[in-house]
Amino acid sequence: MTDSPELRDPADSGPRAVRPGLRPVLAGLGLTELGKVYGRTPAQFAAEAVRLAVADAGLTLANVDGLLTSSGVTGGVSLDLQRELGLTDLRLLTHMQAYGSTAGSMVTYASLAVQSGMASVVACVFADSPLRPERGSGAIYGTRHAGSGWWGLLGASGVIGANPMYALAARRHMERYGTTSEQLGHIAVAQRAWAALNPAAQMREPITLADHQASRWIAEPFHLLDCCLVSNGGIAVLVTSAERAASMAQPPVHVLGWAQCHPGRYLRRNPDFGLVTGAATAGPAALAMAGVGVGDVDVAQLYDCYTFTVLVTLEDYGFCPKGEGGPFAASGVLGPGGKLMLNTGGGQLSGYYMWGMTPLSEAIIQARGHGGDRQSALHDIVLVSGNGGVLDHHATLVLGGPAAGP
Amino acid sequence: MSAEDTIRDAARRVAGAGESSPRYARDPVNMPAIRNWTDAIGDTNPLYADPEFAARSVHGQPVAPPAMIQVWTMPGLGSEPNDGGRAPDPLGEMMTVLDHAGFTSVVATNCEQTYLRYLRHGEVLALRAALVDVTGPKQTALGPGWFVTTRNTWYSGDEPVASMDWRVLKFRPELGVTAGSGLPSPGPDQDPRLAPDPGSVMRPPHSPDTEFFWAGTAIGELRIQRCGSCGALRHPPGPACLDCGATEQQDYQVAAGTGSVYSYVVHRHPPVPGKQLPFVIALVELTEGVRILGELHGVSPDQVSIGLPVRVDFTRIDDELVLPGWREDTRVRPGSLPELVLDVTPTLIVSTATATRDFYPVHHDRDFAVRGGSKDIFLNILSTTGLVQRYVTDWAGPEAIVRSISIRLGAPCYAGDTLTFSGQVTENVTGGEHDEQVIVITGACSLGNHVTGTVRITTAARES
Repeated sequence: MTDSPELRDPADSGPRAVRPGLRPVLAGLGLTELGKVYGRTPAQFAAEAVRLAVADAGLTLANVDGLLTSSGVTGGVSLDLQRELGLTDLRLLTHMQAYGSTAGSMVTYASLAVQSGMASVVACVFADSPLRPERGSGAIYGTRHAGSGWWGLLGASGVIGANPMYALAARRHMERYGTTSEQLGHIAVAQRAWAALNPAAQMREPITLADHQASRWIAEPFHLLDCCLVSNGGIAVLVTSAERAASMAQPPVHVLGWAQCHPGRYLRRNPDFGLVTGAATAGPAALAMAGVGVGDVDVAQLYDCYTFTVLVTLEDYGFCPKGEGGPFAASGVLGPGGKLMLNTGGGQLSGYYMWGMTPLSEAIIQARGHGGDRQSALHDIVLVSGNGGVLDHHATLVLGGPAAGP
Repeated sequence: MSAEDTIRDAARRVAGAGESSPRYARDPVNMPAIRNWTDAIGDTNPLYADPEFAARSVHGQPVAPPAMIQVWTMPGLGSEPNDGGRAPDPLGEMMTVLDHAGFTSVVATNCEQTYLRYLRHGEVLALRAALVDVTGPKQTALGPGWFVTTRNTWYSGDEPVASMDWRVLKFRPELGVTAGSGLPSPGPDQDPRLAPDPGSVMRPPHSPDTEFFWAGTAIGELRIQRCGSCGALRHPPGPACLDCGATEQQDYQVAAGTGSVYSYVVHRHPPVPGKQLPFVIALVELTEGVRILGELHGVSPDQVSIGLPVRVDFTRIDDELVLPGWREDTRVRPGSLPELVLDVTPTLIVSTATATRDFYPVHHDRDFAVRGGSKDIFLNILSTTGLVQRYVTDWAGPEAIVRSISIRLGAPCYAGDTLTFSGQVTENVTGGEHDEQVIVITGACSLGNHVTGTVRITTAARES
């Protein structure tokens, strides 16, 4: 989407550009209890997630020398987390926010810090606690932005939250390519089938295409089952160097490539609104950095705030030609037993909604080979996407299983 | 027995009684009443007033405007119904039962009139009424209530000549509860549309970047930020030009207020403060090239499409806030009716109320109306129906035969307001003995849609 000839070839700028021992590895993963977990603050979830990730790697908090924090719709996670965890003399600390693409951005920043020698063990954490007993999830997200800044006009026009904005984008895709609600439904059905195999998933009861079509309208063309869940909880990951990871508890998950794209064309006269996302730029760049092509991807974890987000980014990453995401989704390639291992934990539609940490956490589980009933036989190359705003921000990571070191 | 059971029992009893005995019109169908009505409504169709024209028409003689049907059997001012008060009144009986159950307020929501034939002078009509159904309790924007539907059938002798399904919402008013406050809304067929409540509308905060925009809407201008340096437009407004980067000399231009739907959604959940569900949100591409989001008014969800021409439609919430929204631009659509813009003067309200023999004081006594919580006197439903008929036959011509008028009632139309009718032919069946057309109409006032509905007409088939 952008033409930047002055950039270095991504293959020369990533982890392979540094000596092997310093190359970045995801060595720890911590998931708190996720879903309808009430009575805990985002800061409490965040602190627990970091402790779990550190323990997962076989480390102690004293080994952590970098911390990147991020928060969701309820805020509450900040630089204060350092003090809550008793971390002293950190060499890297910052709070990051690029919405659903933040997880990918945090891992990228941590990887750059590790491969430069700036820090050696960096914890990246997200936590949120929007669910309240007796309160609909739509109401929680609906009030976001309702009264502030220019969103005030949108709120007064009846646009609250992200649902209508993504539905506007999906409508463009439908108009241009003939994409249908049923085709979107295939994505929801496939991910629910995956969620049935994931003990950590919130929604594990199988659904049919008819259930999808019969679920109530939210913002047409979206049914309820086109929209993600809302969850409470926290997830943290640890980024360290390959040489440090060698003595840690878990099989190393290599960070092979990364890229971002922030199109910045929101509501401008771009003719491709709803048709193309930042994945079309970030995807090839991240794959090039990793030295692989989309055909080499064994497992894909694509950000799924809506079924539509999955459909349009499948096209942008090149899993199918542009405009053919609908027929592709309906062709039987998705779900357990299909040929594309996509969103194998149920994603945010049926698993848990932890923004970019949802695809990242399942990617780590798959890359390690720890997926249990839902484990992909091949897991050397795992693609992870993060999407934020209204298709405004995109981050891609390419991860490698233990056998796929750079 | 619970209150709900009492209501349902009464509904079964009243419905089971079937059609009431007849209530007779006080006067036969007559020219003076017709003239009063056509004068007040502004209907100049010669079919009603010009005997020579009528004689040459398909009717062969003068006839009454079909939309007058209910007028003939209205009681006069202060007089008893012409049956000595003896005929059963199914609607009145249900109103009494619901009053006792605490559902003390009433608002009419739907009126569907079907005309089997036009009436000739001298015919004496009898009205029989039956209860069709009572549904509830429903949570509505006005409060919990019951929808009561009755069917009135008018007879000339033993021959049925017209019928009317009449639906009202009998509700328990909830003070302080307004649309969008979390209550489920009634379905699309039955919500009494309310004007946006100033207290519930989300208020956009102003900033130095957006001040010009709101100053514009306040005087009916849609202003788009324009760079004083390179002339590029941007929306939403912001601190710099998106094209040349200039941060100073940011100016604006007044948009023509026209454009087309670039994308749209039908919002159905969750409830939005100040809005009735469902509503349509459109991303509009302005003629000038920039895009802007807003609510699309007056277009039902199944009638929206990408590319639909629209024009700006401002809604005054109160003295401080005017919101820009959108409305279909029927001027550029084939099959659209020319707009009819009516100044709703006190004279129009009082003369039409009187000509339709509706003497309820809210239609002629301002003090009475204000004491009851209204802003002013307002248009009555029989006149709204008449205006709808006039709007369509003005366009279709005096020979068009009106077969039915089905309307849904919305915001009240007060004295001093402007009522703008627009319409669109949605079905056009030719080839039979008659050409049949279905016209969807909207009558909008400053508070929103006063009336929306469908008129079915037939005309003699053209020689081909």
